[in-house]
Amino acid sequence: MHQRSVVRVGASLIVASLALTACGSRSGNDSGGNSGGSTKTAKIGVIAPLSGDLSALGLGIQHSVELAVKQANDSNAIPGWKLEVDAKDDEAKTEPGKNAATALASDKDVIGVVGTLNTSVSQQVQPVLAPKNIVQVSPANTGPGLTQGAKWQTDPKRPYPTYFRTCTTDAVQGPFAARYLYETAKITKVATIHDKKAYGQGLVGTFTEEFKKLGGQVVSAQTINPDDSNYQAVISAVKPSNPQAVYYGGEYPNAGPLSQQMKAAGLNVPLMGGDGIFDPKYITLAGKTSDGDLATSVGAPVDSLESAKKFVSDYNAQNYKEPYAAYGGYSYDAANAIINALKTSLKDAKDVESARQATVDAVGKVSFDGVTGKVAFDQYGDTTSKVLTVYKVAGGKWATVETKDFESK
Amino acid sequence: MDQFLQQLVNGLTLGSLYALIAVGYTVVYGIVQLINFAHGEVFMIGAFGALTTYLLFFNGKTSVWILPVMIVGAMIASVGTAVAMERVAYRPLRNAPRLAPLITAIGISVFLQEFVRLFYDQPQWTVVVLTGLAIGVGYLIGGRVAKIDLSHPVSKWFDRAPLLGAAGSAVAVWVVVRLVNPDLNALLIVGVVVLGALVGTAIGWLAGAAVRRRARSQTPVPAIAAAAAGAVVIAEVSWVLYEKLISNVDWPSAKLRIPFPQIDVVTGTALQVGGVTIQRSAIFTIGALAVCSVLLWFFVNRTRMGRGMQAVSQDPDTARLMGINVDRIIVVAFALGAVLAAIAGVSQGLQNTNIEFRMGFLAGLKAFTAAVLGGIGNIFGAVVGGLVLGVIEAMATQYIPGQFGGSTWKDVWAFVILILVLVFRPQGLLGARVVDRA
Amino acid sequence: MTDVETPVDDVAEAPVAKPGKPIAWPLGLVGVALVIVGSFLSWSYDGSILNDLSINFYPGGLQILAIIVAVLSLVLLLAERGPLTKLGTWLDATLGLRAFGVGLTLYMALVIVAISVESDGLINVNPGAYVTLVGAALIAVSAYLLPLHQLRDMSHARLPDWLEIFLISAMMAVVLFLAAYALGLGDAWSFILCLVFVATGATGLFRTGAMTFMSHAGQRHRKVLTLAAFAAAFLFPFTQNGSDANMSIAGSVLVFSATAMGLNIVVGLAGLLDLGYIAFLGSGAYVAATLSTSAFATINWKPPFLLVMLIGAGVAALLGLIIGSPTLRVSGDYLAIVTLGFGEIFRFSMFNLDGNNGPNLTNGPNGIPGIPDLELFGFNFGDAHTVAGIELGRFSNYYFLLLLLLGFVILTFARLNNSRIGRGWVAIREDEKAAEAMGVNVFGLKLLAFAVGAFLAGLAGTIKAHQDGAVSPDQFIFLESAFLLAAIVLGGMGTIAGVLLGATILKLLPEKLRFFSEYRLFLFGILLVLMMRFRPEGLVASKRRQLEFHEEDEALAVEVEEERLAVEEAK
Repeated sequence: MHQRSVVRVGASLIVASLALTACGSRSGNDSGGNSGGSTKTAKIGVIAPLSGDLSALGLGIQHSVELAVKQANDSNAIPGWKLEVDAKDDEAKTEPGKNAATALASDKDVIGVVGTLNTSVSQQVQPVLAPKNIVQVSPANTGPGLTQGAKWQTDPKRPYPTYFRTCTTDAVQGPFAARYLYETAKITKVATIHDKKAYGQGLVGTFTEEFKKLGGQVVSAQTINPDDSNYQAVISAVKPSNPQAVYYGGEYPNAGPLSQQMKAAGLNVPLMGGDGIFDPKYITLAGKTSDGDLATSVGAPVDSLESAKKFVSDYNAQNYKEPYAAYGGYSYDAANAIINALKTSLKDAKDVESARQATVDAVGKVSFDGVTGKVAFDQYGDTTSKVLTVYKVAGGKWATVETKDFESK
Repeated sequence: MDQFLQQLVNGLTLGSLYALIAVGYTVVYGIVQLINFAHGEVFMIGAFGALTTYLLFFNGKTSVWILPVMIVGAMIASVGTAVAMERVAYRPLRNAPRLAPLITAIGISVFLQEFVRLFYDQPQWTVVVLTGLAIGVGYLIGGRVAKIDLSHPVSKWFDRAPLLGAAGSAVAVWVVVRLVNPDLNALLIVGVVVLGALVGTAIGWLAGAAVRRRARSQTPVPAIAAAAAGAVVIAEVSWVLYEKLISNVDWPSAKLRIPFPQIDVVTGTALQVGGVTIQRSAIFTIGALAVCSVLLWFFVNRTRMGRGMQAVSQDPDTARLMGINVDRIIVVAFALGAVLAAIAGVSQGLQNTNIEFRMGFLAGLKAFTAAVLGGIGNIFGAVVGGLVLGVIEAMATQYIPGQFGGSTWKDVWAFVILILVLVFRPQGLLGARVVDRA
Repeated sequence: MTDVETPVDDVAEAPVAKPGKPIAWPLGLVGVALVIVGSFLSWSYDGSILNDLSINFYPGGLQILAIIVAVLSLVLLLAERGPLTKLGTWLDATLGLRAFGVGLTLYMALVIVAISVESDGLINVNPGAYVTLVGAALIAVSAYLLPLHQLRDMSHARLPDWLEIFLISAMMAVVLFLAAYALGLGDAWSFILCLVFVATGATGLFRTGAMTFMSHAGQRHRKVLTLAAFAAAFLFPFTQNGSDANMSIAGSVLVFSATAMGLNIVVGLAGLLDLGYIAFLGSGAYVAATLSTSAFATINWKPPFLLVMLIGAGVAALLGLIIGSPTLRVSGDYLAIVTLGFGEIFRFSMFNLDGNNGPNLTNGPNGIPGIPDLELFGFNFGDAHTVAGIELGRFSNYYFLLLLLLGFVILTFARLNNSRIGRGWVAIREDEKAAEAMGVNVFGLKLLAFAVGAFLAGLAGTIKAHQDGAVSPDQFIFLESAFLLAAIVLGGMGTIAGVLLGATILKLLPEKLRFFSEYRLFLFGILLVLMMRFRPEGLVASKRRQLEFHEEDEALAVEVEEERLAVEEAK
């Protein structure tokens, strides 16, 4: 203790500094890929869950963006520039998401980001990307607050001018589900469960409001912890109030087992959720008793659209390991929105950083026909198309029930 | 009233799970004063062992007769892990200050979680493990045949050199041949076995010649040959198993939740008794606990090994003087805990319908709370403590009013109880049974 | 049985005199020459890897490192026989040369592997590399053939004061310089090679006894040493050439180190096993977040930051007292689990208090993002400032603040360590009952340890919240507590330098060795197990701790006793 340690302060600070040195710059000193040729590189980042429970959705997003970028490079969409994809894993959690955004934000070659999947992760990503003027287009965030501010119901105000999304919001999705249940399925008593994250809670909130407005009754409102696997407690709490359906706000890793345990415990009613549960993995996790469960998702089913057929065949031709999943089409459109904007903003730009503001402006003005329909953004950064679809599990697969354009009443 | 009974049933189900795992904690703590942090992971590996057995042999079927085989598979996995843990990590630290085993346990816990997460869907590691096993078993066979003393404190590594050299080089030859040609035709199999045995014997004999001056005993040639042959045969057999069985299964990635097979009688629609819903898996769990408790009672009180365990937990030094092999008792303690944890793992899988690599952490902590609640070191205290904890948890989620009730707070209550117990009644409900090391 | 030799333990690196072989010295010279020549030649055919080692007579960074080791070896050889023999009576040239030789050989082997891997083929390794490898091997071989001498006692070594101060400062400057260099290293292989170089150099210097001398010199000029160390750390951002990328990592390292130092008080000094320490850091961070001007902050009061720091630290200390009072009666193992439980309770509470399951304090699982940058006395931490022509970005600003914090924490630790309180803690740690019998207020001191540790962690947390810009419950999981504990144990419990070293290694390596990121936790688990098996006292061990873990080592016991007596005499 006495002699050694004080001197060891020195020794250790040496090693400490050495270790610090060993940092090495990832993007600091050597800017990427300047092979001395005449083409410059711009990167489109992707922040999505590439590992973990939601990786099926995240990898679909990543590959769709890769497809769009590859097609842009092959057709030389932006002369003098080559595009690259830099995909970062956010594990569907806030902390890795923020770190991924920080890494992309400090990279001088990043011109735009497609992401994220989860609303709660975007809340952490927006404040990191926005100050650097890096445009962010999300294919899957449905929390209304991201584009219209925390007080979106009473006083909508756009918090970040760099943020856009190609999918509709829960301000539309929740009421859409409520209308389906009340008017089409004639269900008047519903229990709600959510996982407390921004997405699930928001979705259940808008659903509840509309359902009550229509005259329905929410007989029980519960929450669960998404790390949990055993939902007996919640099921026992909900069962005595005899709901005719359970509306769940959250994602499929929890919804699947919840559905199975629910039915096994005798609460044999359909479980309905939002786009977070719309994935084949839900059916795998929910098992054989999942027939009759419902989900809504943004947009029309990708397979049914004419515009999507080329996307589907191109995607399959690339032989990616994972399918494009629920958000593949939206990611493709998001990437193309950025690429279309880059056509104007990178044309005479010297380097990536100076073109960022121009890219943001250009994205706000894009208008083209994408895979999922017309791609254009309103003054908040929300997409202008408000089509939603209801799906039902039948025979171990999701089947389309109805697709409608949502008109606000 | 119905709600109360329903939550009672839920609580007993949860509690049975905790009880099964808690026995492992309490038994180990009672004997070696070590909180086996990694016991939760043993539980998790038991569940994965059951899943593996299912995927290897019964993929797609749901007959109830699969269940016992799955349980056996789970037990093999968890007992193997626990015994290996004890041998490799805990035994060398028997006399170290408190901190060392605790940190080792944390390290093992993290290691096991990550191991399952990273490698469950890439079974190539089994080949590596089986190769090591082949060398070990070959060495043991050679030792048996040779009947010489291999643990002389000064010269043991020189004595062992011929056998190890034989087994090692035989397996090395096998590895080289198999890297070149992994086919499974009969000629190649026989050929590689013969070649491996010959080369192994030769090198083993050479090694023996090299160390003759330093070694105390001569290893006869038949023993060397037996070591080499045994090693290469085992390597080859495991390779066949791997190719035919293991690599043909589409292993699911353990980075996500994996659906657990639903077996006929123990899962499915629940039974309704009056207003109370009783899940089939709940019946299985509670039944398993009951059966295990009875067997445990017999084991501890009526068998020699069990009485040995009691003796060691009272006073290990005197027990040693009485001729009890303390080391072996400790291994048995670990194994016992692991067996019960395996059953718990299967129950959890059946109940929750999915398993994941993280499921051991929280369950392990709560089980430890249960062990403390019942009285640490006291096996039946663990059972009682587990049941009580489960019931309290269920009741708390139902009856605590306002915002602090409900299922999101349920995990907190276990820790609150732990603190209360340690403050107000540290010996637990049934009294602790720990060696007094004064 | 008569012809069986009793194996002799001839592996001891005994400082007993042993004659060498005459060929050794010239062999060593040849080796050094080969290394230098080889390093001036090109090592790799491909110029785009490893910062270009392909130009003859224009050594790249890694080659210069090899040359440095060769020059040091030359110095040692000359100390062995030649103009520097007077130095050779103090420094153990042979052991040092062995370290250098073996290390350099390993380094060259790795270089060859790296070149082959990076450029797909052994063919791409140029003869220069092989020449250097041979030279390194010759140095190693010669070192094993050199004689071992009885050396003079290093504690009597003295140089003129000004020279010693100069040497201390020079050492720090070298560190800084190396730091600035390694910054330019972009890829993982260069980094690993740099690490090997550092390890070689450090081991060699330790083996020669040079570090022991520096150790004594530092003892004599303690203030200079501390000042030089801090100056080096302070100047670090200025070596970055305006790049902010590494400063964010440096900032996280500092936060982690400060927290680990706080835990060092609880675990290292007072011996209280705390597995839920991350909760204190988290409470500081959450207090700062809720009292900040973020859009998601849940409390409407926005006090100035200094007040927020105090409140945050105070809340953490309060939490420490609350956790401490009921649990400090229980013994070591139970305490660990109970504190773990508290850590989990904290996390669950942060997760749940979002209005649904409790009052909305923490915004639940989404956390509180968008925390604005600090603004103290008009100095906005978010803006880049230009000092002496070098631009210091956002993270550099936080770096300086955190350096101040770390200094404060280390100061607290050192002062407490050398006080009655510190001695009381050590007494409690060694034998609680005896301490109580001697009149030490066991319960009060334990509570104080918890409270002080928590206070320091809370302070660190408040700054962390602003540096990160967001807080969420995911950041404060049990694994973080395990990392903190591991940092302390790995580095050396109860020592300042050890904890800093451990914290730096554990926080930095994952950031740097990105290609291992998938296996990060896996390796962490293995590291813990191996560490406790083979070196439980940590890297920088206080001798007493080492004795605790290696009770049967008589020689060590004698050494500790002698050291203690020497310190007594010096007073």
